[in-house]
Amino acid sequence: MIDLRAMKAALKQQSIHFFVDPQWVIPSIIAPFIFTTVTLFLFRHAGGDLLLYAVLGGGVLGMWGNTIHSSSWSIGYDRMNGTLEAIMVTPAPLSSVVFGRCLWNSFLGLLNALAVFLVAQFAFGIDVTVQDPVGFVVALAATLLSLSVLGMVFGAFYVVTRASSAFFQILEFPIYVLSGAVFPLIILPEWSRPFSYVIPATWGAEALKISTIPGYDSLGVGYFGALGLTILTTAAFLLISLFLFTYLEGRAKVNGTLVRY
Amino acid sequence: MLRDVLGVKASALVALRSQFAIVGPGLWLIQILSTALFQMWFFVLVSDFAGDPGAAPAYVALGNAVSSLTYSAVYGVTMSAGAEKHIGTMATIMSTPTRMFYVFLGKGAYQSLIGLFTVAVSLAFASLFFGVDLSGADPLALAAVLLATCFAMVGFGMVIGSVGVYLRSSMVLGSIVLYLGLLLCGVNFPISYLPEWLRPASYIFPLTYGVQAVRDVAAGAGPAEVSGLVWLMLGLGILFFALAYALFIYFERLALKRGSLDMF
Repeated sequence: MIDLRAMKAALKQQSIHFFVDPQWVIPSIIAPFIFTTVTLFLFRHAGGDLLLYAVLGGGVLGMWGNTIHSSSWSIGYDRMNGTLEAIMVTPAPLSSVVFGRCLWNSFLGLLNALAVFLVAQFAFGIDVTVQDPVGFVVALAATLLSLSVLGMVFGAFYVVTRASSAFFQILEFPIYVLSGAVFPLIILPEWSRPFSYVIPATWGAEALKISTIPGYDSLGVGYFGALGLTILTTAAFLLISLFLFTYLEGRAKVNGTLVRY
Repeated sequence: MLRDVLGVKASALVALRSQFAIVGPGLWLIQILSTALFQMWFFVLVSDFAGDPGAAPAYVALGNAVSSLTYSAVYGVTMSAGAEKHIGTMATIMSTPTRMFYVFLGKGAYQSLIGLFTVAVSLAFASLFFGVDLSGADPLALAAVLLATCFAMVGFGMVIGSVGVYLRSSMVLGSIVLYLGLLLCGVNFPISYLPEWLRPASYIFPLTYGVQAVRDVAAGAGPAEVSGLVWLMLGLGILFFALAYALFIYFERLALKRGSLDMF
């Protein structure tokens, strides 16, 4: 399972890397920020809750954008710098190291949420008032955790192949669409909805919206239902990621490709 | 002169070979197609939900199809210098007899081909899945517009990319330019939606003229009707390439003076 001490150390190290060179957050959050701003322009005639909907969804997209870029690359950079072998011979499980990094990266995605909030408040004059602040904070924490775990799943592939950069680029935009963060899932075609339901961000975004927008419950599961499903899907992805790390670490050691870049 | 031409050709060939060094052709193709399709789908869904008649789904799909050119023609070119620094080959490039500008021009030429392929596929997606009607489009006018747009955008990318010779990386700048077009160039909504103070920024981007020209061609305009925009983009392109040439020389000197060539 997750070694908390290793996870905490990795989180700390990742935060130090960020403060040493904060410019690298820009490539990760620029896409969701622009996507949300474009959405706000398209929704400007609608006003009211629809704009709030876009702001909240944009925040989730930002967390996702940063998680998938930074978390996938965290192992990629180790591979590039030639430090992947050194990390793998330490007693700490690699999955715990990556989880600590992912947590920091998702947390950093909140910067995008803040940027979206400021644009919404000052450029579009949207009043972002949260109807259930406690519920909102709990949902935000659950969403952050769920995206970190999803980042771990993608990060695992970097252990075994340097071509993983293509995987995360392939998956970034589909999750923007399938999570239904800035539009209701109901407008997606029926065949695509099962994909949406297995993404934790779908339920996290839903819980965030329920806690903010009065009377909102588009999927009919309520706040606790959405929160429960966020936790359930997150747990499932955590198990998948732990299995992947065990399997792919073993394969990388057999292939001897850890220092190949 | 001949040395420069050979340099451009060699650089384009190296770019072609190194394209598939890490990511295989199959995965690369999926990456290109999925990015183009899902970005378009995202904005089509948003516009469908918003219900703004000024930015209907077909309008948004066509804009995004043209904008897909940015990934290669601007981002790919912008990233070229940064990528050489990233892998520590910038100093080696500088020690060759070919000027740095021509080395990156070769990479730009290769990226243009990729860009034109991407935009052709994206237009097919827009037409097949998102209701964009290209039946009345004149193929000659469309080809002329896309070539001119690509030419101007590669020039624009080279101007931005030249900074990467001196700075640690051009990735940050490249990422900003890559997505800014979605907001400023009339891709997803008319430029008139932007606040007045922001509108002049739209006219710096060649994508603005490219998107407008493709919309005109889709609406039935022939080569003569879009020739103004085509000439404008060709003029802008020449201006950008001249500026990029001067900037590459300037940043090359600056990087040598400050010893920042291997800094990443």
